[in-house]
Amino acid sequence: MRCYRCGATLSGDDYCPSCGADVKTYRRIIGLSNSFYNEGLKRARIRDLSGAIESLNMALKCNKNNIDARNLLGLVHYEMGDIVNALAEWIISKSIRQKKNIANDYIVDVQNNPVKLQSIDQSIKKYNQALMYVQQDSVDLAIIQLRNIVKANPGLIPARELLALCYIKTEKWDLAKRTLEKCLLRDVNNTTILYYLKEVNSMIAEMADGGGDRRPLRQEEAISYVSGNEYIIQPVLDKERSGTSTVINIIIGLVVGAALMWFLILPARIQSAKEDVNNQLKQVSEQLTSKSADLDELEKELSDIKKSNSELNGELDSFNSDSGLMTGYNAIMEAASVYIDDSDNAKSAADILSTVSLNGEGSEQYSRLYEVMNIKVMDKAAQDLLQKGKELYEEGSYGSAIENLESAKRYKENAETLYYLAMSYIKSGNESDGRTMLNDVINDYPDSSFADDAKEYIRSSEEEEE
Amino acid sequence: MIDFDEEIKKFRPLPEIDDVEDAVHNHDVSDMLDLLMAMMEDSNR
Repeated sequence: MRCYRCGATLSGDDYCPSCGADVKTYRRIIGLSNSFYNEGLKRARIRDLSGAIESLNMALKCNKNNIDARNLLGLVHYEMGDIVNALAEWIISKSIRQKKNIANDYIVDVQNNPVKLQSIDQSIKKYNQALMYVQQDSVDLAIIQLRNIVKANPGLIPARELLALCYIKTEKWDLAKRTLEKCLLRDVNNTTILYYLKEVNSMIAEMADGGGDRRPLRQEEAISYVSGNEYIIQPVLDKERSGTSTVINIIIGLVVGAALMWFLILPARIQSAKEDVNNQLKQVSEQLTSKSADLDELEKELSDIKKSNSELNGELDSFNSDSGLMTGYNAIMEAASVYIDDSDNAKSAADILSTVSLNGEGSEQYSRLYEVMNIKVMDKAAQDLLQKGKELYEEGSYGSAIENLESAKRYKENAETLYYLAMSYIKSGNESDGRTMLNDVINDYPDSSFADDAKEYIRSSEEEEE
Repeated sequence: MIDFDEEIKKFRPLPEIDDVEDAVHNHDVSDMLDLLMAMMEDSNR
């Protein structure tokens, strides 16, 4: 404690050791301020915020420099939602003592939370507007506004107080009671709240007392009252309904519901189901038609393929048959192979080649090969067979000679072959065939020497017959 | 019974954030000691 006059530190005496000022009363005032502060602190601890404000104000009335009391007062104001007075107290506290003062931290905390500050400011503005509504007798509007404020800022106690008062005005006792009870949780000894709550409880008790003084609420669908330990809320009804009428009502409701179902809902459902079925049938029918068309197409395609297959098989068979092209190709190749292996064995190649008949079919290469083979092989074979036939004819083996000469004639017919063949027939006893062939020599090869020989033989044999 | 009109008169608008400066400026910071000092000065005169 310091002297109020010179600022010197005081001892336990009633006089200042420095300036000698009478500090007895001063010390008592400071003590009083501190005791008010202690009382305020106790009340704040048990959440008697209103009582704490009273005590702390008294502490500051005694000693305006009581920093602790001022800081605590600011804190209590803040808790009640009165941020402006809270900041005012902290600012003043800071001006009294700038260093080592918790008020600095409080101010910084508030400044560092601008969102909350803005929210509280908005709530305060809305509260003031709601108060204006109430003063203009628009209590319902005020109730709506205040409910929003309380929801956004539950700590704003004046808003709850005003809301409770509005509920009381509109005789919504239960809502008023609930609001007041919630207020008491934040400020346990708020005299205004306690007063309102007392009035509300008495009104509720009156309504519950024998049910006689029950006051129906305006714009309310229910009546609420306390009966013993129970809080009863029931709708406003002129008469009670019996169980029988309830059952009848239920039955009527069921019948009406069933009728609605039958006449309104069911036909629509059936129609809808029918439409679905029709749609499905239509889809299936379309699919079936499409599938049938596909099937027809596939069958036609199969038939074409079968026909083509049989044609190809026929062609293949014709290729592979004895007179087929493939057989002909094979024969030509075989004849060529035989002739290349042994060019002296022209007869074998010629025999093979004689089986070939291209009939104008086949590739150009094969046709050319066949012609070449024909010329070379046939000529050679005919020549060899003629030579052999002549030898046999000279030996007197006319049968064998005929055989060879016939082959030679087949491979390549010429006058010599025909002559010796005719002579072989005649010498073997077949006069008629021989003479026929001699005439062929004369007719077909008139310029050859064998024609002359043939003529000479015929003339000499006619002369012998005569 | 609560008199609504009388109770409403007890409700005052809350100061907004913008009014902090005015609140500080208008704050009554006199205390008993100030009164005591004033009384003592008067008595000394």
